[in-house]
Amino acid sequence: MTMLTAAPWFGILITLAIWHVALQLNQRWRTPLLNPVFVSITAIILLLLAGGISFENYNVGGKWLSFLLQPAVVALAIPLTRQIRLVHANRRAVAISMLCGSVCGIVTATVFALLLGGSEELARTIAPKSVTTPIAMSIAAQTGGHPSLTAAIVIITGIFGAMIGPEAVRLLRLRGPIPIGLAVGAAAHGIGTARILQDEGHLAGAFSGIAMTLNGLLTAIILPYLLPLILKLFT
Amino acid sequence: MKSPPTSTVDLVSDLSRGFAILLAFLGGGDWISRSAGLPIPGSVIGMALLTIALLTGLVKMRWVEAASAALLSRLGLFFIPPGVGVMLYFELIARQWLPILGAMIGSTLAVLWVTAGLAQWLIQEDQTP
Repeated sequence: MTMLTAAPWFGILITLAIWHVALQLNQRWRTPLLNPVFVSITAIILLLLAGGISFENYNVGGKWLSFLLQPAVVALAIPLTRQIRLVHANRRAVAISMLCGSVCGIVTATVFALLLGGSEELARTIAPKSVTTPIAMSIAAQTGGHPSLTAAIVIITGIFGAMIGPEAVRLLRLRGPIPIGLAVGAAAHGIGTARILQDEGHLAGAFSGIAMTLNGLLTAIILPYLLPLILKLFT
Repeated sequence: MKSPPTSTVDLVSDLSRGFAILLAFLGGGDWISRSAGLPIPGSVIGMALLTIALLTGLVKMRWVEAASAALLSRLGLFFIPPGVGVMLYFELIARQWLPILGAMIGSTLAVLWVTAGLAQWLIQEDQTP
C-alpha cells in the first residue's frame, strides 16, 4: 500500500475525485455547511486514517495541487484590474476598514487566546491567524510563534470564515458586495475568497482578493509592533 | 469580455500563454521577496506587479484572462492538500483546544463585523456628501 500510494497519482486522484463529489453535494443542498473545501478535507483525512496512509504519502501528489495556489494568487490581479475604478472610488472605505480589520484581528485573537487560558506562545502563534498561510507563517517565525501550528490554525480559520462569513455579515443587516467581499477576505483569506468568487459574484470576489492581500501586508507591518504591547498588557 | 476562443486549439494556446505569464510574474515576485528578505510571499508581490502591468497595458487582459479564470474558478481545490495537513497537528490542537477554537471563532466574527460595518458606513458616507 505504501509503495502504491507514495506516487503522485494517488494524492491528485483522491483529491480531484472527492472534490468533484463535494461540489455535487454543495450544488444539490445549497448550504454553507457543505462547503466543498471543508467536506473534501474531512473526507480525505478520514480516508487516510482509515487506510493507515500517511500525510507524507498523500502529499507526494497533493503538493502538485497546492503549488497551483501560487499562480492563482498572482491571477487575482485580473479581477482586481477589472474593478480598479470601483476600488479607487471607494479607496477611503477600503483603506480604513482594512486597517481596522487587521488591528482587530491581531488584538482579538491574542486577547481571547490569553483570556481562555492559552500560553504566551499560543498567543504568538494565533496572532496572525487571519492572513494567508505563507504570510502568517513568516510572521509567526519572526515573532516567536510556532509557524506550522500557525499554518494549521490559519486553514481552520479560513474554513470557518468561508462557511459562516457572508451569513454572519448579513446577520447584522450589513450587505452589498463590497462590505461582504472585504470582510470575508480580511477574516478568511484565500479560502474565504474562494467561496466569495463562487457564491457572491465577481465584484465581491475582486474586493475579497484585495482584502486578503491588504490584510496580509498590513498585518505583516503592524503585528511585530502591536503584539509586544498586547502581551505586556495581558500577561 | 472578448469573444471566446473559437477552437480547442485556440483555448489551449490561450491557456498556455496565460500560465506562462502568471508563472513569470510568480518567479519575479519570488526573486524580489527572497533577495529583499521580505516577509511577503512572492505570489503577493507577483500579483501587485501583474496588476501594474495590466493597468499600464504592458500585459494585455486577453493574454491572461483564460488562465486566470481556470485557476480562480477552482481556487478552493488548491487549499485541500494544506488543509489535510491539519491532521498532523490534531494532538497539538487538542491539548489547547479551548483557547484555539475560542480565539479563532471570536476573532473571526469580530473581524467580519468590524470590517463589513466600517466599509458599509464609509461607503454610505462617501455617497451622501
